[in-house]
Amino acid sequence: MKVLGFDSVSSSCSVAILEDNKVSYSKVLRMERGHAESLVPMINEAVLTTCDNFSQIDVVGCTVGPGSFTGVRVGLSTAIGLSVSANKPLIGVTSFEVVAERIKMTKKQNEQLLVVVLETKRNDFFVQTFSVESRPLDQPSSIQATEFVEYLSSLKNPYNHILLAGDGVGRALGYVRDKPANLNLTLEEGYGGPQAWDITTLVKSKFESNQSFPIPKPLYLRQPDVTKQKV
Amino acid sequence: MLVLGIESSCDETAVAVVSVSQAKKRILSNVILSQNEKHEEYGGIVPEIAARSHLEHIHAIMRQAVNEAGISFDELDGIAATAGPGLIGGVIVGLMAGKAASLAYNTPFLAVNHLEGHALTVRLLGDVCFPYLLLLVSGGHTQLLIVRGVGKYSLLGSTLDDAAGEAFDKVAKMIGFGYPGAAKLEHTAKNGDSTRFVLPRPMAGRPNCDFSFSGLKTAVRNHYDSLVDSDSETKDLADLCASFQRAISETICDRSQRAINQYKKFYPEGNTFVLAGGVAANKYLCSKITNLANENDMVVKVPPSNLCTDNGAMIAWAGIEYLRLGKTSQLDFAPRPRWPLDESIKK
Repeated sequence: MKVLGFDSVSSSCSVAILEDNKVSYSKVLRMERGHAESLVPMINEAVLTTCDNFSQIDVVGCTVGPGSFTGVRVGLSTAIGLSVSANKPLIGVTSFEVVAERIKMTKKQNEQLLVVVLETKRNDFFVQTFSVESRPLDQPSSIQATEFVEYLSSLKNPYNHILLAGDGVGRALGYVRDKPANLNLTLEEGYGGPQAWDITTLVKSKFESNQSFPIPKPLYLRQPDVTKQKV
Repeated sequence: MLVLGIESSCDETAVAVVSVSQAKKRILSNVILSQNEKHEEYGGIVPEIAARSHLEHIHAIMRQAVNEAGISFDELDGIAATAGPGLIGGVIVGLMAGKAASLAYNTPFLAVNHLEGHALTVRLLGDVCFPYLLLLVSGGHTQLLIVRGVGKYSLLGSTLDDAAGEAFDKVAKMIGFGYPGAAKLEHTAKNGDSTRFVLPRPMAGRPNCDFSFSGLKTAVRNHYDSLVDSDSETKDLADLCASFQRAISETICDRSQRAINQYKKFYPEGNTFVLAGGVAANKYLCSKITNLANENDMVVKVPPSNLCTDNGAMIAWAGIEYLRLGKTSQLDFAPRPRWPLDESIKK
């Protein structure tokens, strides 16, 4: 079975292909902009490197957000174009799930909660907390940077240890200096945002445990900035 | 030749399939989802809301277009998508879906200039030869161009401020018709006296072919503000609508006459005047332009209104025009929020 996975919602553009249980192709390009230009040729290269043609891909997966609005649109509309035209199942995963998947693979999360912190490039963070079994414990949300410690303290945490991961960790550090003494933080800084190889493994397990595959919805976690007209 | 066209540069998510065999051109499907209702309460198009709506619906519209056409994606000879100009968030959705669909079966991809879609629509409907004069009037654009060939445009004039359709919508909103109110304005104007209110004809008599509508808009506001509530309110509004519609149409005709003169100077034998874009659906403007063209011994060609407003068929057709010339686009084609028609098109 071949799974194509890609991400364009963060500060990189990445594409990977999983064949059976092995990542047989992976490419990551760091970029702040230009995802709309790079993504489809990168997918094309991945497909041509590992298959005769696209029809040999069994499942398509991509991140649905949160991340840059443009990035979400670039990735999901590409995935939709592939899925609708070639009639392939499409599975969307959140940026949180992908980071949690990576942490699960590295087995670094011993007796601590995992809080995935994603960069918003504004005064807030996107956050979601996962159990030691990588089970989400709350809904994805956006919180103000100044409320970050409050968020961490409010978690029902049997361990008093929290592992922070995601591309927002670096900036979040600036807001945890006044944390309560009994709250112990471990930082997983090396791994940034979601990456395609983790998407493929996540997508494969979702594919195997699901029967139907409706078109995934984007996860923006922020309403459009608009005001209604004066009456 | 079978081509799918995707349009998502403003507030319509549209996909169509067009076929050409020998000389026979057919629109096999033309699915359009308008977002009007989503923007109504904001009094205009909100780009982020538009972009989200395109992403929400693009899969269903693509499927419907292909199903209605009775074809499958692997039969297509080309996939065309609007790559600009327009609202970037929406352009990205259609462009990426188009590039991805073209990757799936290694189908040639065609990045289409939205304006070129409007410009070439008449050739989908009949045998219209180059060079022709084009008046493109829509909610986002107001331009006079000589269409010399596919990808060959000479811009004669364009608007310095609002587009004509924008002026219609803004005036309609100003007088309480809500958004989008251009159609209601046209309807109301039918019963009005177009000579009652004195309104300017901006740019009239200027040597170039440019447009400006902001002064006209202000003049309408001044008249509207001076109207007193009375029993004749309905009549007042109808007269104001009629006066405005006449003023803007005569302005467009004045500019068009300049363009005709320039066109005739380059092409003395040329006799085709094409009216395109959403505002071409306005019957009053259409009849004014027809009269003007006839006075100049020109034939007017206007696509039916469902092909004047944004649609996928015009994008598919523009794609066919390029495909027939052997020109295709690369999969790294970048979305272009600004993309002037007269710029040499990099394919």
